[in-house]
Amino acid sequence: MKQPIIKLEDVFKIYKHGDVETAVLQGVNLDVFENTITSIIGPSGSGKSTLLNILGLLDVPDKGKMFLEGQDTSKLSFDDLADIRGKRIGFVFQQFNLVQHLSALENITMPMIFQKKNEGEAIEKGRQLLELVNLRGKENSRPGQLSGGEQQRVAIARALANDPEIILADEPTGNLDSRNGQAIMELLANLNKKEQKTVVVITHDSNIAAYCDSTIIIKDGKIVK
Amino acid sequence: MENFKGLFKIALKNLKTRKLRSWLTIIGIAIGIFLVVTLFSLSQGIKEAVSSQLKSLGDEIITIMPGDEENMFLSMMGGVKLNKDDIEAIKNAEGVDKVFPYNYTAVTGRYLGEAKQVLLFSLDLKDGLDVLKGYQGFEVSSGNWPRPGRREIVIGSYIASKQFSTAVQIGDIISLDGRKVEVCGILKSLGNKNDDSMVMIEESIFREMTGIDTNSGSQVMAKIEEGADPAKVAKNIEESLSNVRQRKRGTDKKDFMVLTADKMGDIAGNVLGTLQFAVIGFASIAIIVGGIGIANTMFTSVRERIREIGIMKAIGAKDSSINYIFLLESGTIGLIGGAGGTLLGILFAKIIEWYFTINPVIALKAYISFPIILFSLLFSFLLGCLFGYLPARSAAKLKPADSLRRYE
Ligand SMILES: Nc1ncnc2c1ncn2[C@@H]1O[C@H](COP(=O)(O)OP(=O)(O)OP(=O)(O)O)[C@@H](O)[C@H]1O
Ligand SMILES: [Mg+2]
Repeated sequence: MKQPIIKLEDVFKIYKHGDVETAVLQGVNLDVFENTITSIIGPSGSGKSTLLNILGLLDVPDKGKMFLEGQDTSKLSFDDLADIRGKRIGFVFQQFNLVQHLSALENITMPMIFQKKNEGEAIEKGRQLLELVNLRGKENSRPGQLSGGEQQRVAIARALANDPEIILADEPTGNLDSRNGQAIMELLANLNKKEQKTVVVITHDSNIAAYCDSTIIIKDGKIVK
Repeated sequence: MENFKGLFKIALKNLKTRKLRSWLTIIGIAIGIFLVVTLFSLSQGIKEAVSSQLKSLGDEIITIMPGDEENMFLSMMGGVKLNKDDIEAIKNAEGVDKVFPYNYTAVTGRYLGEAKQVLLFSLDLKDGLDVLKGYQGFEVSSGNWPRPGRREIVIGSYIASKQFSTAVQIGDIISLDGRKVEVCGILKSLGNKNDDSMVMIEESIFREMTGIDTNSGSQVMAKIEEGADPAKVAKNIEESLSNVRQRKRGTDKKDFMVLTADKMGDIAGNVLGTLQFAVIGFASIAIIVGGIGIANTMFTSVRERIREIGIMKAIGAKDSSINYIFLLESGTIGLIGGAGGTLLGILFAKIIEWYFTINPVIALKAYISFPIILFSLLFSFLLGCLFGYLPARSAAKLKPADSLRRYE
């Protein structure tokens, strides 16, 4: 069988508050295959975001391992992790997480600056991406001047800046009305279908499962299905 | 290699979003740099003015003063004198060519009903005039030196043109402590108010008018023989003066100073160097305060931007990139503050210089050089980086997942 692009092996994440330890993830095993779209659903506080952070190398497991294309990531330095996040993973968050004082275009080109892409090329690529997410003409708008749906589309464009293979989205439609939410989900689904991206979407919303190849249910830090 | 150009652009945009705070911090650093640049260029200017004045004395002249080196100013003010025996001893020391005792007193000069305090100097028309003309650069620009036995004076250019509301002309009568004398010559300016405010009268008349014994001196200049070594002659003079003291008073207490041009330069250099050091030391405190301002601004900025830092890390910024963004911000604050402070400092030093060309108390030139400007710019940039170091490091070390959880 094909090797999964992301593999979690018995992953624990434990937070300590004084003497009290809370295991937010309790032995998660998970395979994500290339060119699939997966949703993770579960109640609030069940550990979805924590799980996604580990999938995206924003955080490291306290126990257990995370493999990226068969490579054990626990051996990697902070710089290596930053490099992988920059080149191979794109993030989309519920709160959009755009830099408020930068324009839409500047937000999109920022990941390319960190990859030392030449400025002219970065701007060119940024414009193409704005077009892809249907935001032509909004280059110079600040996040505060854009609607929620528009901000989330800027965030998706930013996630695509360095042509990553993997897109991780943490409740991308959570702050949007159903019409805008649907547009965003279609955009993500298209990235999977047309651009062959591997997509993982966290959601509360079971309707979203309809767009996905598989759905994982998490409860109290354990995968129940 | 980092993408410094791109990171610098990010840093500049960050500064622009907090304009007021950035400017206030910049002003803080500018004040410190301004003080240091002004004080340095002026004190360096004073140092050069003094050293060029001492140089104009020439190596051939040795100055002998009463008192000891530790209490130089005290004996200068206290009216202690070298007596006739001392002067004879100096004259007899090996290598001394001519001796010229310096005597002066303050008198009231009255011209066209206007009274001003002036310093009246005794002029020895033989040896003294030779020394003044040959080695100290005194020259009459119009008129003549006084003739022996005549009540004639030469006056400095400041007395001639500025001291009285009407300019003094050759042939005019001035009264000194009530005695009328005629102005026979006006001296060429030596570029400083002290020298240009002298009034000189022939020795015998000086004695008669003031009752001061011109065989003694509050200061004695000795011109050494052609080709003699100033240091050696100074030693001879010292020995000769010590002998007189042994013989006449039975004491070997050294109550005089023998100063060659070199030695005077050293003393003045030391005094001024210490002064400069102290002044710049105090100004540096202002720089440190400015630097603390930078650190404060940067820490605040890091705290406010934790989430933004998390975002940048999520999209691929390395710790070092975050570090450089913040260092470039604080360095830029330092650099702009430094540029402003340097500019203001130069401007202010130039204004002071201009003031002294109009009121020539001393010939003060503000000392400004390109390397100094370059140094002060580089210094202020590095200062910004130094005080931004800890805030930048704290930003770089933030964990991406934790920072992203923070809500603003
Ligand atoms: N840094 C932390 N320190 C302590 N506890 C934490 C930390 N991060 C997360 N938690 C806890 O871990 C649990 C899981 O959090 P997580 O954000 O993963 O939940 P979630 O499933 O994404 O919830 P939601 O649907 O509300 O976003 C929560 O109880 C949360 O309080
Ligand atoms: Mg969550």
